[in-house]
Amino acid sequence: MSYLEELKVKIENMFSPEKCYFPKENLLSFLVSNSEVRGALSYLKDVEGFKHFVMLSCVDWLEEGKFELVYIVWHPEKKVNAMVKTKIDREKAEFQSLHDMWRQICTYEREIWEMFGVNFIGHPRLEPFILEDWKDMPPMRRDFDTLHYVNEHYEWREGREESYKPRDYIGEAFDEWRKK
Amino acid sequence: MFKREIVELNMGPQHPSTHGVLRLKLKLDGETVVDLEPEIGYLHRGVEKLAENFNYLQALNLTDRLDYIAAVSNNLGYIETLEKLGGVEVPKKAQYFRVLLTELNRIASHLLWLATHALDIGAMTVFLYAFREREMILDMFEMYTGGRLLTTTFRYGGLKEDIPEGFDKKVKEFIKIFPSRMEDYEDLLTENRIWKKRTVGVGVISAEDAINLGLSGPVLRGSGVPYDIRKVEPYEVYDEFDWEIAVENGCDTYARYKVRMKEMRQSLRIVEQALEGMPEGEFRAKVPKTLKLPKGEVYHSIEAPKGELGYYLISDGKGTGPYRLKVRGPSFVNLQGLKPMCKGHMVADVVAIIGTLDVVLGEIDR
Repeated sequence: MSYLEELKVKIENMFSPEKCYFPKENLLSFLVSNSEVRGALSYLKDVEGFKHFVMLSCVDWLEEGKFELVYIVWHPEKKVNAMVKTKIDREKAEFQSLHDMWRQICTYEREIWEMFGVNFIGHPRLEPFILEDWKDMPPMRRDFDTLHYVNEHYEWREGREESYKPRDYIGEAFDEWRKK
Repeated sequence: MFKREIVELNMGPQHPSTHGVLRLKLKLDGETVVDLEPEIGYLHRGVEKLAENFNYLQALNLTDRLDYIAAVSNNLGYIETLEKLGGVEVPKKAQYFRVLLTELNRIASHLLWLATHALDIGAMTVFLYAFREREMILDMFEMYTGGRLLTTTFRYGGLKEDIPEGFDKKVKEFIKIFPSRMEDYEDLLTENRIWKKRTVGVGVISAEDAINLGLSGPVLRGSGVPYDIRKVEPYEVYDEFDWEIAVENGCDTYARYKVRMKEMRQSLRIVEQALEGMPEGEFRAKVPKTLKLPKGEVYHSIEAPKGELGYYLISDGKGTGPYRLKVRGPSFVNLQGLKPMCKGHMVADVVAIIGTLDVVLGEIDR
């Protein structure tokens, strides 16, 4: 049995994960309840030795009405990844901040707060990060319509002169090339 | 007597040494940096959001524009992520050629870093020399893809085109010339007294801090951690080549300089082997014209010139495009090392430290 398969059994015994599986070799993915995230991550970090935090991401499952937070960690000695996921309510998007575990989580959480509108309780500074003077809905949410926003805020630039029709232009060149 | 006072200073966004549009809010005590805050977002285009509206092939174009100096590496990471989800076997010839192009791209990226880093510190000559060699590599890219910077090189299942005639001749020419040019750069810099004064002991970060901050690439290897994804989790055919991880124990700017110089030499070794061992055969697996991936998720990372470049892709199994694409840009994470590195240094050293981190703002703001 490989290390990851052993780890899977351990995690199934300790926590109550849903959908514990391997999306690819060297990667274990499992979904836990909100209260178990900190426990699962600190178990992986302190006991198993997943020291390198790779990234934190958020996925908007619009139809389910949930946000999914994805924590990916890496084990430097065993050379495997683990992915801890949890789902939070889309209406009441709140979660505890885990910035005390790895310093860089702070930055990711700030980005997710701005892009998805997830409030991280206990975060030292939830301030505008990448966007500037943004008053609309958080833009990475799936119900944010990019085209609608552009139509409302910007003017469309007029097209180029009639003389430039890429299709015709390419067609001619293509025909010439064919003849050769 | 004079009263001491903390002064706030804005550096950037339009500052030649910030390599793009990075703005730094410095808090200074005299000329010493007390605190520092990077302000990003000037180049935000919403790549991740746009990718949700595009199909898989269109989203490939967006990845060019992340780290525009190393577009080939970005393409490779994205295409490999798709292949991991789709479960396609890529022909050997395509894999060899992918490795060859990516390593050439790594050299090009490091050359640009060397050029600008040296220019920032004051060594003008290296800038001119390094661009000369970079031009040779860009010519090769132009020959194969038609683009010099935004290459959109690979396709799902292999390559778009077969290797053009005369390409190997150009690569051989480069392999022949480059080692002597490397010596030229090293003659100019490595034992240069001014260069050493400006880099040794500047921007020190310990291995422990580097791991905790999640730094990767040459910045981490400069702190003595032999972490290179090409070796520890080999993708493509990297395990078939004979090369070494470049590591230095200095933890400072000089160590990172040495790491990158070593890495260019190792990359050249890989290029040489890839060209020699290039197998015959198909350059693309049989794949459907309209790409549809099964429902699922995957995280895949590769070693880009700047560090660990990861893509987290989710497919809902219905559409022809990604449901969610998250990019873990190495520069985004490496930039977090700026604050601990700069504290207590002079303003002029901040310029050197930005150079040594080798950040690209296209990747940070996305």
